[in-house]
Amino acid sequence: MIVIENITKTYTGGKVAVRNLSLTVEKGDLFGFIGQNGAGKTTTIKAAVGLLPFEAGEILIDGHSIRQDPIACKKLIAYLPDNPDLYEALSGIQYLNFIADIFRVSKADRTERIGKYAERLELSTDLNSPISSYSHGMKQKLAIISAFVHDPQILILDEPFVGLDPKAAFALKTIMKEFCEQGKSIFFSTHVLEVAEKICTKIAIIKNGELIACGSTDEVRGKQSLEEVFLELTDDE
Amino acid sequence: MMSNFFILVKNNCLVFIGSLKGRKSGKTITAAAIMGLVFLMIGFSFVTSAVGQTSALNDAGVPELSIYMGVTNALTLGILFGLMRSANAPVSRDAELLLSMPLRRVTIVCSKIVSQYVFDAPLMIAIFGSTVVAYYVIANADPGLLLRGLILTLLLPMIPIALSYLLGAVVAVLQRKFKMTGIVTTAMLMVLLMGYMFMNFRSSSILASIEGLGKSDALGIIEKFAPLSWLTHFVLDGSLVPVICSLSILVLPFAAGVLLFSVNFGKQRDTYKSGKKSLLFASRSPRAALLDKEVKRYLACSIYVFNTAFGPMLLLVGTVVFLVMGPDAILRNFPPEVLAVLTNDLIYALLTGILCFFAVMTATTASSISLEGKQLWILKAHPIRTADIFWAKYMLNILLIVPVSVLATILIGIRMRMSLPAIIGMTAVPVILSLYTAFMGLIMNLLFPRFDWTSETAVVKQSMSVMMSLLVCTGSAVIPFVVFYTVLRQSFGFLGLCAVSIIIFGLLTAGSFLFLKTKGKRIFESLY
Repeated sequence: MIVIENITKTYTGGKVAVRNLSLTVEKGDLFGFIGQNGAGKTTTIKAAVGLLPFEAGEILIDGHSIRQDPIACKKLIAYLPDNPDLYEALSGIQYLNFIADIFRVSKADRTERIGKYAERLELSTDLNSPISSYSHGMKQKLAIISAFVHDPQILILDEPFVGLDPKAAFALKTIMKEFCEQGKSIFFSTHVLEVAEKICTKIAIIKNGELIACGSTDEVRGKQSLEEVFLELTDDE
Repeated sequence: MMSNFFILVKNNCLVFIGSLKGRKSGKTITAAAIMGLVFLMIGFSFVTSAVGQTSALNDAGVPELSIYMGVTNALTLGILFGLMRSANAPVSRDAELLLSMPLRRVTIVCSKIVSQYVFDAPLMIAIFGSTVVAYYVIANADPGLLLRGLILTLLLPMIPIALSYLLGAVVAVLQRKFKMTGIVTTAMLMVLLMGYMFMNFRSSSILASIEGLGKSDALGIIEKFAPLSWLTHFVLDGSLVPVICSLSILVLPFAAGVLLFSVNFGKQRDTYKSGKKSLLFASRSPRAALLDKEVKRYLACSIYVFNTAFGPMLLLVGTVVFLVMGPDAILRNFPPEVLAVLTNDLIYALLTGILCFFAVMTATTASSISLEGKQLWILKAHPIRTADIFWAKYMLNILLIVPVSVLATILIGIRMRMSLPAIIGMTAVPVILSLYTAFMGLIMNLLFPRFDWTSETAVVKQSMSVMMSLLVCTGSAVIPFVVFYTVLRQSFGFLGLCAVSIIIFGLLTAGSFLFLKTKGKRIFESLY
């Protein structure tokens, strides 16, 4: 569903953020993408959702090139940034209606989906309030609900657990697992290795813009814990 | 070693300068040079205007009126600045950080107030200080007057500061009580501004009739409005009552404002929370959703509305005044030598020029991309066509000015008993110019985007795109008038001017639309 082939991204000033990176996320994969701060996780994710141009390589979403046919790709995916800045002038429900309108979601479908996810993330009672009155966690929950509004085939999430309370984090983990059980895919970055180890079916580790490990969770960690493997692989000494 | 107070003032100044500079070093030098040039030009124009005005009033035998005018002008801009600042419900974004450090609260608050004073004082010095010095030199006044004038120059910045702190506290209360705070705040500030403009207009119209008055009647103008009279006499004679009254209107609101600012500093701002349980699910087309989002974004930002809706509002008010008074009553205010050369065609051309001015002044698009700020990801990560994003942005601009402009033109045309072709021509010219302004504003914002802002004021009032858009559109608007009156005037009448304007503005509009569809689209897609 997501094929990243040899992408390289260099920022202005010459810093190579991602170098010749390739990975594949298949149907049903819950794919964890881990690495230190500044390793290139967010750059890869932003390139995959069409937010950042890259100078070499290719990214295909269900066979569509993100460079050649970005609209077709974006119709299939939902993206959640690491720090979701939302339209503060709108109320929660107005924002969700806006996203649903963009994806042309019918009134019946949006009513059902918003109701379902808002209930699970305990945000139903706050949806009529302006987003400007929301806490960081509430904004994160709203962005998560908006990601599910159009019933995407692929979820691309950047640090989705940051700012969530334990109950909401648990709810999100459950939702993510259910999503992949339907044959859909999730590609997400995280710093929380315990979460990655517990829920991911596949894991990739990135260091200084290059992939240093990739495979099923069992393959990557072997007989050690994911934390031990991660520290070993990312140790500069 | 530098005291905490001075460290904080220095830091506030650095933050202010940093906010002007922006992030991209490549553009910093150009931006700083243009900003510096603009500030210099503004300062120079204030000083030359003060000297010219004082000199003219001295020749008319009433130099004292220059002090009155200086006070009025300084207060007008000061009050305008205070209103604009309070529209943002001023909050100190660094309050939590500063209060968590080993600094006394009073030191932090004082540093904020002094920094604000440092930002406001240059304007007052340029307007009022230059008037006082000009009066001292031209009218051979005594040194005591110069001293009192300079003291008042240093005290006047207290007014915009007091106003912004007092109104800021009111806006904070509104934010807690109302869902549509932006609209409520904007409406409140618009009413205040209109009220002040009305008062100012009345005093200016009195001053315009000075030629027919004797010296005592002319000086009587100073006594028309008590606060202005106190401040003027504070400088002119320094007698006890005006000095006490002046100090009261300067110090008491300032003290109240500072007190409110100090009490509220660092306090968590409560915002409106809805108690409504039922949710409204409305389904619209993506374009309609984008336009609705643009409108809500627009109305939520008081400074944005303030800056761009003033033109259509003034146009509406002006049209009503024109319809009520009638063209004959208005023309009576013109001197006979002007009336002698005023033909119908020239009057229509002047009216079209005024309508074009309002069209150029209403450019919401010039800052609309920058205002996306950190939320730009929403437009870019979703399956939205760039053309639809542009459409929503320029439609807001068009909807804001075009209906008002068309209505005003038709009503004025009928009241002036203009022919149908002339009404159509006068309607079409500002409408096409409005389209061009909307497209050009968007182009300028694509060329000079700014996403790293912390205050919307920085984008709406101080950004390069807004200045460039105003400059380019004003320059373009003048072209047909210049072409017509230098080359074609002898052969064609008002309809000729309309035809030339429609052709020139039409070509410019088509060109800018084509640019948006091709290069503009590519620039937007590369933005992040």
